[in-house]
Amino acid sequence: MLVNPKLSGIFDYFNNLDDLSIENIARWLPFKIETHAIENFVANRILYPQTVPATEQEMEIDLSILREAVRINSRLFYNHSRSSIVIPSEFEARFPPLIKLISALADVLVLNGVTKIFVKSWVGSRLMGSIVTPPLTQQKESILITLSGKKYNLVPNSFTRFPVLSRHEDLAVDNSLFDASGGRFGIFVDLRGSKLSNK
Amino acid sequence: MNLNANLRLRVNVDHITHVRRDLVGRGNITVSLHQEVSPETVLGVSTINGGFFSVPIAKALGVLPAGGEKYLQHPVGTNVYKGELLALKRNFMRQKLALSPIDGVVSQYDPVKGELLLKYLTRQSPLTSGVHGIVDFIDQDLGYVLIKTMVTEIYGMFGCGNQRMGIINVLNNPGVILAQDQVSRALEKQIIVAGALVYGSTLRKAIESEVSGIIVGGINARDFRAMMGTWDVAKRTGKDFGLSLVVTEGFGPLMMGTDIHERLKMHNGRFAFINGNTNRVLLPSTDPDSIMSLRKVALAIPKGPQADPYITVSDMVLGKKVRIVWPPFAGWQGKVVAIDQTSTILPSGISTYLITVDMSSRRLRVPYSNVELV
Repeated sequence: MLVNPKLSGIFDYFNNLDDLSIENIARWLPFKIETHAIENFVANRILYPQTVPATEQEMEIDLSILREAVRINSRLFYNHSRSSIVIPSEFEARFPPLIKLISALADVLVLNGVTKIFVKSWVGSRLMGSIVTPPLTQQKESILITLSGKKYNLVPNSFTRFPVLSRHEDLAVDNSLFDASGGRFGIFVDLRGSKLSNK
Repeated sequence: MNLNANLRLRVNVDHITHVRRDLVGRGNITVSLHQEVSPETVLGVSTINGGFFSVPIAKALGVLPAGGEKYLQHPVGTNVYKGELLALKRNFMRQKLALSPIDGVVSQYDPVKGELLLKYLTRQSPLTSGVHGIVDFIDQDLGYVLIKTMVTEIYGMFGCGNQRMGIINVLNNPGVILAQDQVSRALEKQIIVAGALVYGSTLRKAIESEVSGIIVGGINARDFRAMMGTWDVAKRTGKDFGLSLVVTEGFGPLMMGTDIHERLKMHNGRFAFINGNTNRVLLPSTDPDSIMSLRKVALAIPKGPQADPYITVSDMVLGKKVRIVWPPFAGWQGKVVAIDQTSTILPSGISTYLITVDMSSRRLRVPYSNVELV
């Protein structure tokens, strides 16, 4: 069978983009847009996978599509038994800034405790950082984090990145202690509690 | 620094290929293998049976069903023509009558329902070639002929519907949306060049009006999904919903590319083939001298589905003609006049290289990955 070569793109990782819920994509967006416009956007991404978003709005739509695509294909990215996320290396350049990409993944993957983040390329998988999702049992005005001997007061419902390179770091959230992994991505602390993914 | 882009063949001028011509209904192919044909050559003749039509005679005459038969003016087995008197009842003061609505044969009277069954007259339907060419293959059992001919082949991005034929009618400029009131019975058997967008409601009206095909820049994803069950064109299966649709650019209102629109305008008013399932429009050559080129070329008889249109990856270089494939200028075409040597960070945060595209009315700087080479 002769296959004509053509340029591919990020969304070629998914073969079921036409199964995505347009209503769910729309709910992630911070602006109003007609559902038929989202449908056309998704369909054109499938048709022209090599294209890139030029505007902030287009990037928000792409991140929303990514969320829903990862949600229905979570086993491709999340290993529950090993508490690890593995993403292709192209994701980092395609969905800047990094914190938005990791936050989008954390939105739809049901994470608890420490989840390591690996990036997969042709040379193999490399540990790049981790997400710490502590259990939040009560409403507070601020949450105390201790990392590398320093204390931080974080706002509830925040998603924060700490640029930490070392492989093992003790991170304390209130009275809970976590063995988090740093790396080029750093350590992300997710204090957002219940998200759309849990609805 | 090498920047790559898709190079997609969209217009293939003076391409030698096979066109298939099928008899409608049962019939006989009358041409022979290797015969040279012109557009008016009759390839074969088929007989078409149109079915039956019931006329409520008893109700028209105001009689009981069992008593209607004695008022018939034509015995069973005779021909009647549209408008002719079928039945007549006279009394002292007035008369009631029933006229034939069709050309047909009086078949039988049903005394239970009071209806007269008319059978449509069979008619002979000649199959003409439509093209200059050479007969390359004949299948008498299935009633079709393959003719080797010279065409301009137009490839769309996707489509749906079986092969049909008709006269090209360029209704709109490339950027205009096809309005529902532009579609009527007057466009029966034609292939409409619609412009930038056709709505699902307009498609339905076109089917009712027996339009053969529509070529358009874009269609809304939900309308395409309603027909095909998916908007992932790689997953569609060959379906037909009453006409043949070829979409040249993508989803949503997208200006039809000038490369395709100009070629269709040159062929306006002439016979063409359209096949939505293979995204192809064939514009037969009108030059009778094309036969001389056809005599020198041998083509393999195709056994299976046609190959996908040609697409490959090529280098982006100055002077190349490109087509913008992402909004807001999707469908616009122009020449590459500059390629940035350093990357730019777009408002989206993506770092990429921009190229400058010179179109007739403006110049645009766009990410190189948002264009395709033409």
